[in-house]
Amino acid sequence: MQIERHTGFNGLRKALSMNPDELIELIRNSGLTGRGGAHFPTWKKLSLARSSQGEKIVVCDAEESEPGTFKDRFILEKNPLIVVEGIAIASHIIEARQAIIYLRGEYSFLEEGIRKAIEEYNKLFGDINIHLIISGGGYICGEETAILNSLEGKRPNPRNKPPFPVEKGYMDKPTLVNNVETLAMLPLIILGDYDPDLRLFSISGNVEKPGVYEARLGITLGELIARAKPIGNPRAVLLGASGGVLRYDPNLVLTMDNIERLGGMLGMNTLIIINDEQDLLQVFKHIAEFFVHESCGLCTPCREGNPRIVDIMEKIIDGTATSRDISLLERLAKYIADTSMCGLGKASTKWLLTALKYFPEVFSNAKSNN
Amino acid sequence: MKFILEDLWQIEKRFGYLPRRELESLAEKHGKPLAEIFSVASFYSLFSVDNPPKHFIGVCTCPSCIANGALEILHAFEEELGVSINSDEGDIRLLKLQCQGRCDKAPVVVIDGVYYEKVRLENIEKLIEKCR
Ligand code: SF4
Ligand code: FES
Repeated sequence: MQIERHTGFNGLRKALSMNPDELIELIRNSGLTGRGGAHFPTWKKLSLARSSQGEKIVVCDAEESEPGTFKDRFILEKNPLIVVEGIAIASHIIEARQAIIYLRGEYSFLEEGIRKAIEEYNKLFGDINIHLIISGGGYICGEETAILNSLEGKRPNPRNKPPFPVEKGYMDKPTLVNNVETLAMLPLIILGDYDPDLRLFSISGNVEKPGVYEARLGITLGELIARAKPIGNPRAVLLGASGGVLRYDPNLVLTMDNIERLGGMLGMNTLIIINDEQDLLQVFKHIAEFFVHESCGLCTPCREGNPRIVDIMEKIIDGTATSRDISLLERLAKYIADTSMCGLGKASTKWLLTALKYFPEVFSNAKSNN
Repeated sequence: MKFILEDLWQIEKRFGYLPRRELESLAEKHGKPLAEIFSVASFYSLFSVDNPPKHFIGVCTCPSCIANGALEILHAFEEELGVSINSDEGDIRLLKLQCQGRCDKAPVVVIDGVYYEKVRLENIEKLIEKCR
């Protein structure tokens, strides 16, 4: 896998001998976009942060909590050095002297490996101060502005944008927030070792060999899942909790556009395979519970709407739901997606909108019960 | 750079929860009202602001874990322990957890901060012994 390559800080050495504007151009040509799910062009973020004035900060977002996603854990386990190297390169480009790795609390077993990598960097370079901060736990803490609040010692609610973190971030200083995988790509790009089509897929669920797989975008779902050895007959594929759910189709070509056309989102390349022996209704109800648990509570549609969805899912399970409940479900899903403040709320009903479209039979026992 | 999160972790690790008197001195140290510190501390899922029960048993109920039998495991815990989910009675609190980022080792159970992966129904008895 390209991510396991031992670059030995050679990417950083080369970057330090180059002009930041040249580096931004190089990253622009690579086509790299944010691997945390939002796919914002990385060069653009770097360039905006670089042109902001004052003391600057780099934040590495290692609060990976999307259900079914564990590729950042994999990277930090296998190659924390390349992540630290990427942080140092980003800091060089935007001229930051302070950097923070914000690590998911559930991943604190990675702390030692990361600290060692930072020490190694300090021995050889050490011009930036890299802090490692362990999060207290919460899905919203991975949102780029919620991290900033968390680091400032505030409640980790998201902030309104603009201002964007590259203008006003941590303590109002220009802050570059990038995902682990995005930063880890920088040394590879600079060394000319980067393959723009390769992605890390987190594959789990009903497969014999769950794990992180490297594959080219454009591979078919069937071809990729064959490597993980499906158990039984795959029925559904969940793209995390927030990416929606699709019918399992081995011929489905995995590209972002393709998935988007179907109403899903291939944000972090998460694939959870569910076979036909599973109770999809229970899976769905628990996704709804996930969003109730993880909503930060700041805005009404997300905070109040998601519990209503759980209620209706429970009624469907009990067999007491009516067709009115199902139409309410659909309206709620749209309303929450349209009116929530941050990405969490907006994506919190994608599973439901796609489930209603592709798995109507799961909801149909309610309709006859009118 | 000063991070309240680091202080909170120190207290949590030392006491197993965040006692009020510790939060009070933290508030003083950072020049913030206690209510603000409390609102921050209580937000996070890995801290507890009240005196916790003796043992926590958490079962991840996100999709990969459910597809690998998490709900059967959760119900087996309920039955064996005679407690219901989230109940505050007794020494053991049984919880549903959200994805722990170990979906490749599903189903995942966490007991008093220790992770157990690929848990099977046959292992339940042994896991419960950890709490006795
Ligand atoms: S959409 Fe949900 S998570 Fe986002 S700010 Fe509103 S309540 Fe918080
Ligand atoms: S779904 Fe249970 S650890 Fe991810």
